[in-house]
Amino acid sequence: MAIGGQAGDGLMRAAELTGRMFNRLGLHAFVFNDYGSLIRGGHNFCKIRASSRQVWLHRGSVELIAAVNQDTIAKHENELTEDGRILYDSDVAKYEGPHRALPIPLTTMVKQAGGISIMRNSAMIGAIACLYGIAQGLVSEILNQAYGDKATKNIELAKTGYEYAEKNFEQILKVEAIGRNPTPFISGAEAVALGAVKAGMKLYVTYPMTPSTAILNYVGPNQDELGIVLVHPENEIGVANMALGAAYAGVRTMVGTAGGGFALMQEAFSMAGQSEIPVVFAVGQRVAPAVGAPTYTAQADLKFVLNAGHGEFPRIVVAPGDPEEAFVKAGEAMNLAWKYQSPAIVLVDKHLLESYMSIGIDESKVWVEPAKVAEGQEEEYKRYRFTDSGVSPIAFPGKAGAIIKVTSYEHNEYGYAEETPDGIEKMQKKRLLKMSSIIQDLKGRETVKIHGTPAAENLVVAWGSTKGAILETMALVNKPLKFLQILYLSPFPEWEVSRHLRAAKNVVLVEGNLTGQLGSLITEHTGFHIKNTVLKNDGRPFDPVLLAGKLQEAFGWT
Amino acid sequence: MDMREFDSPTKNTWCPGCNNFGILAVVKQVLAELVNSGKAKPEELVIVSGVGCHGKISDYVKVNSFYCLHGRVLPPAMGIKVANQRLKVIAFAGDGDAYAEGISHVVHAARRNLDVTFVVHDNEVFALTTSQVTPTTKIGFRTKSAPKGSFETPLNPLHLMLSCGATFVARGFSGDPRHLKSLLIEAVRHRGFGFIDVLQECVTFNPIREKYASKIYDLNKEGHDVTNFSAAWEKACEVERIPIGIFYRVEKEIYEKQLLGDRILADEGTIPSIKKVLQEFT
Amino acid sequence: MPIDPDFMVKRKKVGTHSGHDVWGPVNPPKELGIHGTSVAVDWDVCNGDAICSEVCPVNVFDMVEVQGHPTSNKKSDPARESDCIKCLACEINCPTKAIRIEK
Repeated sequence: MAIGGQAGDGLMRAAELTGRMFNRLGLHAFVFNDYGSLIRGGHNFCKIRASSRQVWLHRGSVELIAAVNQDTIAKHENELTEDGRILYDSDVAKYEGPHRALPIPLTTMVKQAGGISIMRNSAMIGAIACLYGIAQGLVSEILNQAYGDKATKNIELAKTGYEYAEKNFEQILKVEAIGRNPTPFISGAEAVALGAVKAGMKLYVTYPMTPSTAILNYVGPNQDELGIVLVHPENEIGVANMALGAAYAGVRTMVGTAGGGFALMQEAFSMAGQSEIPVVFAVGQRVAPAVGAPTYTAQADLKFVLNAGHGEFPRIVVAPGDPEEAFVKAGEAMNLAWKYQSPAIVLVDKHLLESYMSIGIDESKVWVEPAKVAEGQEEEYKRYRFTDSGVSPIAFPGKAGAIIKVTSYEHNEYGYAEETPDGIEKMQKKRLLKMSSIIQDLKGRETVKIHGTPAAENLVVAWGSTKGAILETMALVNKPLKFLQILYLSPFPEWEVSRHLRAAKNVVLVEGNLTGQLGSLITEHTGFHIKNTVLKNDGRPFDPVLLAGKLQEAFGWT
Repeated sequence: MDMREFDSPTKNTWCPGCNNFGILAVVKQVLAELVNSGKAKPEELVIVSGVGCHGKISDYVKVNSFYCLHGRVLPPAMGIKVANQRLKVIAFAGDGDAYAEGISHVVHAARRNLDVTFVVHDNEVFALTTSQVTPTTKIGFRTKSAPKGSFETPLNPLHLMLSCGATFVARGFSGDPRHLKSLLIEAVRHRGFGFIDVLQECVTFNPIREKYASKIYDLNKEGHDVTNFSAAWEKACEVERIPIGIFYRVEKEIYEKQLLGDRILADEGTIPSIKKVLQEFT
Repeated sequence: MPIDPDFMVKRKKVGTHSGHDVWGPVNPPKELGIHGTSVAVDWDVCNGDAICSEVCPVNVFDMVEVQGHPTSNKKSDPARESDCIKCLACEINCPTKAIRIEK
């Protein structure tokens, strides 16, 4: 279904709560939101989908439109299925078209209850629940959980909406609880935060920028429960440099930003490499360049983050494709950063961060993997001691008998500035040597995922949140298809990617950018050039129906 | 501890006659005194310096140090304090580092009353990059970046800090190292943002020490009330005579306490269970 | 009256002390001469302030006791003048201009 209205109508919350209702019954739900860069007005809508099987994306077409304004009806009517219905606030909108109309006087209900306009949602959620045969008790429960003490009016209005629907509308279908234990209904933003917390994060430093603000919005109010501290400094340069200071002093820290904010952090990122201070950067992509389309998704910053920071130094870049992967990989990124004293980037996007889906999260998959810490009293502590692996034992100020000097300058083992030719090259090589250890470590982790038919000749290659669209598309096509989802981009798992490419007959690259950035990365590391591509950069996730058509074309199926 | 225990093995590359030598000696003495008076253990001392001739102080003192990016001294200082507020942080910047590249951070660190000491080596020129104009360069000063003489009104660092709510605002002079030492001790002792603008010459590019020396006077010896904001502001306006000493000093709760209470994040190793959180999402 | 910058021409070496030369005339206790060559301290000008030993980055000086000198009982002795890195901090800061660094 689609829920629509203006910004300020509280639709995203309503959609999330509706999705949560279906999730509570054991169904799999997915909620996608679409909104412009404004606070009031415009057109916001959300697409909600629920099913007894795992869903990875919403559908383009809907069987129900729930509209709090006229505009929504106009904008989404053509997405309605033949027997679809339109539920709308009859106080402000009219519908006389061919589809079944479900007028409900939401504004009047709210006025009578003495509430404010944004509460029309609650009445609407009640009506929707009734249309799907969901018990009123569950609606109240969800609203209680969401609004706590302030839930009374919302629950009252939900009841009013529910009873109105009961009296006036025919049920669409009765959704039964399926005999399945519900899994978390969660977004990528929350999952990234939780993964980092389980891997030891104690400090989250950020500056608001869509879509990473979604992480701030979760972490901020829940700091105490998560046992962490959130700091929002004056600008992104302050953010990144503060993170370096905190990590130097021994605290596992994550930075949250978007592509444009990360652009401001380049020098600090370079310093993280130079000074070997571990920090995780959660970078949320949106349509770029520059300010771009702030609230719309994209996958066009891959090459940017791979080459972030001037100079040569190892970095870890991982791109989860759904909230469960976001949880695990954010945790891995934190652990890898600390084990190998290299900066790590968790590359996400608006679609992954802000969409909600039902998915299992296993807390035991992430724990604090110990870093190489200097033990006891060394003869004389050298922060950048040369070792076989390139990783020096780390220590933090406060350790008796040790002097810990970190620097943005090229340096010797003690951390004093170094300019001799031998000295420079030795330290440069030491840092780059760490890459081998990281690669070894990654060989024991999941760096790619294979979906679909493992022996299929037709291979789709993609990364990040296009995962959902591709999995849905695979369910729509009737040909055997294999999907290689690449999780780690740096170090690049060419040991996995090469063999899958070699085994395939036809390969198609699917990306949310127009220059095929993953494609060129694959060529760089494997020599393989993927000629067939499906690329777009319009700010929206791929539509499975349209993608199925494109894949048909690309694979040359009739 | 003796100040000599802070001597580093690195060869000093400041110019002969550089006023930084005096500042360096003062810093070592103060660090030693902090340890000897029981205010800090040697491992709890951290210096942060930016990029410029001043920045090399990190190489010349044998102590924990964070030698950072140009203009970015105060963010890591803040990160270090938030991570472990037990650590004593003294941050150094040049006038270019502090008032040009890094001014946004300076404003907010002062506003937050971050409990660090901030010493600006103010020689009114970008020296390490061989002489360019900074925000404190006097009008008419000629450099490669301003061949016809600088025409931008220099900013007044003391006014800047007063208007940003800094709780300790002082000016020192590198030509009087003993007075500077007493200022530094007071700044470190001050609970909150301890700001000292140290007027100094650059012996190579801006040799003004003799010129300033004759105008310098100690305002604390002339009955100045350090708790009076207007008086501090007035004194900071003076140009015919150059007052040095503590201009303004008040007490205000520090940022670290307001953010953390008594927490030492670096000591917190317990990872919470997210079972309840995940249940709430379900 | 500051140290004579031409002391090496105008004066004669009359002895050594702590590894450095002493330039005369030396008639203790009232006249003590100039100690050191590359780091030269005129003990008849030196007032024992000790700022030189405080600011020296490489610990060249030791403050030593003398008896019966009209200017002061403490004098700055360039005990490790070969360590001098020519930073000039001592020369610049000495309140009586008693020090001359060979440049």
